[in-house]
Amino acid sequence: MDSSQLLKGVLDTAVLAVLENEDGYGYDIVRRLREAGFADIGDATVYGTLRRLYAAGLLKTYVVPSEDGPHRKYYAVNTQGLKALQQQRGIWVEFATNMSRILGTPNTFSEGKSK
Amino acid sequence: MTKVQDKAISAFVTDVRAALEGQDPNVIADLTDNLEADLMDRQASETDAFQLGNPKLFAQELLASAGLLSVSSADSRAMRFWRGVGSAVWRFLKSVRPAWWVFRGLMAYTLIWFVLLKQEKYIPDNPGAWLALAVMVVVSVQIGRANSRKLAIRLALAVLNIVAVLVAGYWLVGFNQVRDNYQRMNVLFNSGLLLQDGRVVGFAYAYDKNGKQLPMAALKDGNGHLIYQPPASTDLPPALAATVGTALANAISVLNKLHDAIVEISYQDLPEVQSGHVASVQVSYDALGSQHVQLVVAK
Repeated sequence: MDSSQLLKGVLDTAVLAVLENEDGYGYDIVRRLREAGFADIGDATVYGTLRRLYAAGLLKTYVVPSEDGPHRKYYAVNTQGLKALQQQRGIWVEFATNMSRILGTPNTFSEGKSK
Repeated sequence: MTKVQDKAISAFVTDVRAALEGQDPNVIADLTDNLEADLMDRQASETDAFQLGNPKLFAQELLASAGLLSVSSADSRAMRFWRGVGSAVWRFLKSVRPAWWVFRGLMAYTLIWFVLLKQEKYIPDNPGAWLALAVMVVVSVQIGRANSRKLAIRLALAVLNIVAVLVAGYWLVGFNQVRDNYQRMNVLFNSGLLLQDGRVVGFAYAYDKNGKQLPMAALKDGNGHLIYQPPASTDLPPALAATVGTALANAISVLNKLHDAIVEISYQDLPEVQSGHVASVQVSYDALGSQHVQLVVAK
């Protein structure tokens, strides 16, 4: 199984999660996703996803002027995006719990909840 | 970062924008406005490993992840259409697989009957044959339902399916011949004639126990269906009888009203046809029930 195929299904959620605590600009978001373990993710894939999430009304943007380079367009999650992220989080936990049960692997979500 | 690398990035972004041509200008701006700065950041982060790649592929990836690929290129639209058609056909074929399994059972029945018993049997005609067909159908359906993933079994099944297709061709030819024969028989039945051991019975008569012929209007089967209609009387119809001694043209006008009759005209000592008078008229019926009118014309 190719993990990049799995990532395609959850990339929206991953991008929203990355932006939940801290706003970011294009390559900054790519870097954070790569540091989170998605080392092979393409930057064009992330930029396109950002555009789609923005068009769907889940992100807002603002420009930060820069003295030593081009201006940066920052992305931030708006209220609608936070709602969507919360919903997707619930779906993911249920999905991952079910998969863990089927695969017979430790269920980190249930364990985390019980602590 | 060097000026040369900056130029390469600028050229790359220009190429990406060119590859996005045809899209809404706002979309192109959304996707590429900060691209140069982002690529510079990436370059600074990756240093020696930095590579720009193919701008067209980059543009395709941008569109795909932005959910815009469906309106981007005619090629991908056409490909998606044919993929959709292929997928629909495949789904349809999968849904009718049980019908194929049953048909394959019929083919196996035909083949086994032909190989083992050297007989051509397309449709069972006795309880034993029906039982054999049922067994073949059940076996074929069970093999289909098993849907084994083992390569050897799948290969064997592929060979059997090909054999079934070949037998199907043979079966269809044979079945068509049987159907044609049936249709011919049907025509004979509909002609009002009886068939006795495959032979046409031209006429039927009823007799009493003393051997005296009885008048008979028609023969009907147990369901009341007409199976034999005796030929009409060979007595000369009055209209035709009245033509004797009159001009041929008069007889022809009467004959034109007998649509199904086969008319034979013979001329006696007449150099030209269509002239003279009717000398005699006779009516008869052939084995197929057709009415024949023999007309003799003389001066």
